[in-house]
Amino acid sequence: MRLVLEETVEQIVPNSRVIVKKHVWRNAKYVGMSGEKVAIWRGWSANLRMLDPRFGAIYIDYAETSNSTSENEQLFGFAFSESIKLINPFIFLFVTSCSIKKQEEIIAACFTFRQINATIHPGIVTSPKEFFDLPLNQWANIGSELLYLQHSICG
Amino acid sequence: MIVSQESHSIATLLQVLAGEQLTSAELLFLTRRLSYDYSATAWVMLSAFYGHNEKILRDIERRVLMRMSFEGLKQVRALLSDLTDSHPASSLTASEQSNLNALVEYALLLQTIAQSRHEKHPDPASLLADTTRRRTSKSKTARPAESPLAPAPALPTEPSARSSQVIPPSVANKKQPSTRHQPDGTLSDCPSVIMTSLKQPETFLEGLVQLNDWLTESPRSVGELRYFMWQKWRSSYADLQSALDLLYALGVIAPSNADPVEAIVRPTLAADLSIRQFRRACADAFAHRVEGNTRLLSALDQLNEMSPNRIQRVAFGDVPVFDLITRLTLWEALGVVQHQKKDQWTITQGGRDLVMTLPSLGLMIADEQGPVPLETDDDWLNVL
Repeated sequence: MRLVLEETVEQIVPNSRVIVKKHVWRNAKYVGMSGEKVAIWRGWSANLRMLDPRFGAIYIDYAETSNSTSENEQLFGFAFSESIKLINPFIFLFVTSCSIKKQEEIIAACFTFRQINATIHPGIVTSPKEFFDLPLNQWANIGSELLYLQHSICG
Repeated sequence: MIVSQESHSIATLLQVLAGEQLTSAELLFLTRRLSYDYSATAWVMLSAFYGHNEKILRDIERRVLMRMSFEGLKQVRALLSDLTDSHPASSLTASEQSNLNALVEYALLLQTIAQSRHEKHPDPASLLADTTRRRTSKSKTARPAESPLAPAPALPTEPSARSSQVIPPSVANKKQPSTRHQPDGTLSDCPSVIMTSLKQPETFLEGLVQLNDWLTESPRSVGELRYFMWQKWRSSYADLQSALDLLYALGVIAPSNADPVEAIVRPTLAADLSIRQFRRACADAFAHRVEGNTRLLSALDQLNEMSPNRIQRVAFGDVPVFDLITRLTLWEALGVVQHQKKDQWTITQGGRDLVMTLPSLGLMIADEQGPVPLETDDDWLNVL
């Protein structure tokens, strides 16, 4: 996952792979609960804004959910909860800060999205198997496309 | 990118199809799409990746296929047509070949139609030339290349009790034949795969029932029907219009005047019919929708055991019916006639019951060599 983000940011800004940082999300408000405990999303992120103000941040997370579909729908919106109903654990490559009004353009670009209130996070949900089956550069290209999508319609 | 026999992994072929036009996200959609056939399960699986419903996914698919490289599509189609399972360089599984083939054919159909509407600008000339060549080699009665794409003409949805005239969708917008001997619109060019399955009547009917169930599951476009036929029966591009004609003649679908690809194929039969009810409904439609069938059944009803030559003479006189054997075979599959030894055909009790519901024709059976009385002069020869 780290390599995917490194390749992605390199495509946008050369020699920028060092900005890729590890993170762990543990906020129940955003990722929900896993039994008695707060769920955990682990992954990597890169904030390109500091290198090129036209672009935002990109994230890639690995997570497993034990929430019910209705709980997931409350947390992430319908589309995303449908996505992770059958694909669990999952990997989510995404950008943030997009208005819900842009969802049609996001769908047309072959992406799905996670919804948090009126904000959506356009991205791609994949299974660990598919993630490793496809070449790294295809995921990196998709990452770049997400950043350009964010730049063009979410900015 | 030029594709060669040595470089046809699925990923390479997808790159060829994508050309410079598709994004990586679209390429991923195609990769996922190719993992599944055209069943309802496929949409459920795709839905799992995207969280969108089937309608949205179909829209995405159509848009992606429209954006594929036209040159790439032609290259991959040519490659697939030369590919055999035993090819030493073949790295595609049978399922991958089949799904890829179907996808390529569907994309070509969409793009060619878009071209005909000036929405996009691939080069359809070479495609159509290729299709024409393939058809010519297959059948002398093959239709023109543009026939599968021709919009269906206005047709009566309900059959007329008086006339047995049928104008199959592909024929009705052609110039009417100027002589009685013109064989346009006969059933002899119905899909070869359907002809093969006719040899096992129950299988044939079960196949039709399955198709009807699929059609009634949710609205299907002509393009999707084509795709379904490809998946299920390996029916070729050239067979589409013939299949549509046959399905219309059997009363399984209604005609449509809408856009040929966007048009919804409207099923006319309920989804929960038993095989027996289905057979009866098809027989009734076939009697009314195909010109001359009333005459054919009446002849068999009155004379019982007859050879095809005698049926020809009694029912049609000196007007040659080129698809007589096909019709008889279809009637047999519908349980209306039976093929006996020494090439004799008889009518069944179910056939007699059907004839009772048809208008009486008063054939001149005593004088088989004489002219056949017609209801009106040009009434039933439009498609024979």
